[in-house]
Amino acid sequence: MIQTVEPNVVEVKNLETSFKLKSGTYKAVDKLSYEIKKSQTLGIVGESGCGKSVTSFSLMRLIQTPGKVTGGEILLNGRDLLKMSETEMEEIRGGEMSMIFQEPMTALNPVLTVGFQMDEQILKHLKCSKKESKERAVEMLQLVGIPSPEVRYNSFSHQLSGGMRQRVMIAMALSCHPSFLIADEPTTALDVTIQAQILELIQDLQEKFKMTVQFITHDLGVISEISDHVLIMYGGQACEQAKTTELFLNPRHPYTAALIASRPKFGDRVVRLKTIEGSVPSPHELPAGCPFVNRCSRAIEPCLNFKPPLLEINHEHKVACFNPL
Amino acid sequence: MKAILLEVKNLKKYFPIRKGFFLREIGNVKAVDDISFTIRKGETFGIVGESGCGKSTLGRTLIRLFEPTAGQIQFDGVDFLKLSGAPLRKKRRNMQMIFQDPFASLDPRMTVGQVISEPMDIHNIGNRRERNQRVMELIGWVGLQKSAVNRYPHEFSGGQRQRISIARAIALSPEFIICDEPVSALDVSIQAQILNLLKDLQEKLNLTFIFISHDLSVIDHVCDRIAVMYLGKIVEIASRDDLFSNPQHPYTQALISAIPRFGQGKKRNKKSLAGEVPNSINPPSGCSFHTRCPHKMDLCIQQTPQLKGDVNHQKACWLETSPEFIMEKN
Repeated sequence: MIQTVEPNVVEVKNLETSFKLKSGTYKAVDKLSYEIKKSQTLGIVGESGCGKSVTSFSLMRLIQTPGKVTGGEILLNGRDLLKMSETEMEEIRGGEMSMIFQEPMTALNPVLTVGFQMDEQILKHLKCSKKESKERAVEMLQLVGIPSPEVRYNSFSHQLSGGMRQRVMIAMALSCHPSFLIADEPTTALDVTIQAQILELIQDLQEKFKMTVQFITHDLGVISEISDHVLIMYGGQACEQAKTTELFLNPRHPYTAALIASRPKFGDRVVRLKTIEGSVPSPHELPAGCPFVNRCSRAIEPCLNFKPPLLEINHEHKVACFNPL
Repeated sequence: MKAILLEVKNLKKYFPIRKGFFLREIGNVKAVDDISFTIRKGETFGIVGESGCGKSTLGRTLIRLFEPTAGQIQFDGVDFLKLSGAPLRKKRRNMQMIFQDPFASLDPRMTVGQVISEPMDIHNIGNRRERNQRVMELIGWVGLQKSAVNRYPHEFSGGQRQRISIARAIALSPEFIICDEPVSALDVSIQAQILNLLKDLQEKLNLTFIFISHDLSVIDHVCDRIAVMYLGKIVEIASRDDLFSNPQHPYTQALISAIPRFGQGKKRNKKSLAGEVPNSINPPSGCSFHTRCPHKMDLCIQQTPQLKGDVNHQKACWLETSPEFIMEKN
């Protein structure tokens, strides 16, 4: 196999997103940096409240008040999204960069047909005629495996099943050939057999269109099957980042290791699951030092007062921990 | 072998579909359709299936939150469906339920202490002092702080709320608990805590569980025997080891291979099951899985297969020999 160095499509540098509430300002994402190479998939894993969805919304610049991106850079194909005007951003959203949401029922407008919602986007970005736009929409619906796409073009979202709705969302997201796709828990609301179908579909389309994907989930199994690199988040910060196989075989951050151990595994039965004591801290309870310090079995003194920096300890393997495994 | 605690025979629960001004019955949804199984004391019996397969309806019908349309339920040697009034309430003390969503199943206006002692109030057990003592004991057992007793459910996280639900469920020292997706709404690191807690309590209190879930890895971890449901019917029932090492029904095989495994890197082109679960208002003829089954024969469209096989492993499938299945491990 010939290894070529692909350029970075996405570069996030020191991203900071804060929420200003009556009781104070909380950082939902704190100094997060990562990059994704062309045609690769980065999986972002974390439990609820770790900031993984806020990160995606920050990238799309869809954070609403009282939230705000308060620092950092988001480079998409070399251009800083945070410096763009709202009009420029509208061109990019749905065009160069697209997003699939977790709940397709709430993401689709219930009073407009599938076709209308697809045309809206295609007409805006591809500057084509209505007829061409319809052709394109039907073609996309067919591509994502929707039976009788001409009929479905005129359907409303409530007439479709959960799996079909998610396919419509994918067709819509990909209709203008984005170079970068964000998938935010796209299969969480689906059954396992449908989940397998959707994961396969996303990978097929990724290959076909040479797309770069950021895939967000809390499911370690899903992330392992779909991504090239994995980023583990906790309390708004990155705690570990590595190639997928490396991360699962050789986790170095105590949180990653505990997360993997707490999941029941097939063919490897244990009598008792390992647990992580306590629960995920909410942003206003975050400790001064490492966010994981209160639940960590390997905590040492510096962890209490200093945030561990994300350092490369091995080839393409970064860990933010003062006392890694 | 331990004594039988629950014996279910040909249980059916149909929901009528009504239409028009007079709400004429035009058909029914067969949510639970002719289901039979037995559970022994101390066992954990798993029910697994995708959404809409009737697993939750089955759980609720078993404790008569829904009245069954037909069938028999023998609980602890008594015909449970014949009971009513006081004897029914008394028997129900023995069976409790833990629900999926701890945000919806706890009354937000009751303190944790009130939530946990409510079953004892209803069944008139002990005086106030004894109940309070019992509440404190239960709070300790499920791993909550003593100070929790005067706080309200909204002050707790999902995992802690599920602990409150568990404390309430075991307050009357039941023998039998139905856990309906008890960890599905929880974070991964919290799921393990709750699964361990349920296991500990089972040993301590000699509980029998029905564990309903869509998550096969969780089912594999906690259950002794497992029933796989599809569109209101059990398609396969076997011991845990048998089911996972030698799944016989094509649907079980598809379910097992659809679970994402981790630690093996990117994986492609596995055989995923085509199509979706059919509408239960108008289920397919014959075997209801035939619309998605890769091994479909003419017979499958015409006739419904019955559960057959030895006591330890039964399947409802017309195939004489099951398709080959290679188990991928984690």
